[in-house]
Amino acid sequence: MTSQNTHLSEEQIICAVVDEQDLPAAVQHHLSACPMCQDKKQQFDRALNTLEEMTEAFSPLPQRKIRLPDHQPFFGKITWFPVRIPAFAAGLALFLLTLSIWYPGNLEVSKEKMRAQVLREAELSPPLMKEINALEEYTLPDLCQEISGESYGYFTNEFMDFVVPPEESRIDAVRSDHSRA
Amino acid sequence: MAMNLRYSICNSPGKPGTEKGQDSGLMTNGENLVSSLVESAKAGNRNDLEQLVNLFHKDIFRMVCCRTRSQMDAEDLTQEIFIQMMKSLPGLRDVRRFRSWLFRIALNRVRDFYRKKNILEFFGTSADVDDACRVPSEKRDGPLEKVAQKEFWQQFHQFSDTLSRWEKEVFLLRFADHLGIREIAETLEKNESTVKTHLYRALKKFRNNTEFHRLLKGGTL
Repeated sequence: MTSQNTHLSEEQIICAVVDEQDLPAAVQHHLSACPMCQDKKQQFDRALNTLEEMTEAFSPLPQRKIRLPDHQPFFGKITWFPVRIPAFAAGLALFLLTLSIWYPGNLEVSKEKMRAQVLREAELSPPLMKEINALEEYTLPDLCQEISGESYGYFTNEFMDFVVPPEESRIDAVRSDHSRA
Repeated sequence: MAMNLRYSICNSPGKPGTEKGQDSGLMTNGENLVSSLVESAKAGNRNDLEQLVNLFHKDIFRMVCCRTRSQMDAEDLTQEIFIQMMKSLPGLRDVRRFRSWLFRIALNRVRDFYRKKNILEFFGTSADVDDACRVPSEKRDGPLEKVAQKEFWQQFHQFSDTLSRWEKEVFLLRFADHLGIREIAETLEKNESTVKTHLYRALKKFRNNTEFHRLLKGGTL
């Protein structure tokens, strides 16, 4: 029996329903000539047609009318724009998150670097070091020092010499006593 | 005019070798009319845009309703789909592919809907309302028809749930949305032979489903 005389199998019937052109030429020829195979195919076709009709007939009807906006939105023509805004926002948020995680560590390093740089500059400039030392010695402003009693603003050098005479003035005083005696 | 045109568009793809598929005169006229409407709507003609919406409103709604199985969600999604269509229309290159392009927008919207629904379900805040069987159908008949309708959709969904993802997609687009093989291929962005393979597998399963077959044979249409 050649393929032209053989009836179509179930698979071939399904294949014929999908697209008859996909069947081999001999099978197509048989289908066009065999009433039995044609009937089988038509039965299947009818079942599918009924399915199509029933899906349409049993489908609900829309209750609401479509309302289109009166004017096309400003960015309507640039179709990518509404997509880009959330994408850009998400990207920015990710960038800021990464920065916030990465930056404090980096800041520590930069602080150390800055300190080293300042020290190097300070060593190179004696007046600056003098100022720094003075600041270290008298950290408080004059007024605060007066309040705290650390300031010696009232006691001048003359007063201090009177209270505690220097060594030279004492020797002079002893000599003058001897000469009088 | 819109109704006649809708009829011709809906029946345009047809199955090869069937009466519908051979109705090429209507198909060409319908496609030409849609193309001219799309061109005009692209150019900013508001009336033609509205005509286009009216022409496809029922098809898109049915497509969405069949997938979401909820009238309320389908109404909202259909509205969103047509707004998306309006926004993206200037970017459509080939106006002859409008129908498959519109169905692709609709499919993407439905996928987004399910994605959101899954997220909401994960957090336990999704309101799952299945009212597909309680909505009025095209044939607003008595209680017997309502029972038949309910039984049909139950069987239909039961069968479609046995199919794999692509088999189901192709089967629904072909028999629930009445798209042709070429249009399905364009909608799913797959080649025609892949679509035919999926359709073949789905039909094989359909042929073996005797219960569904019996229901179709007893269909009162």
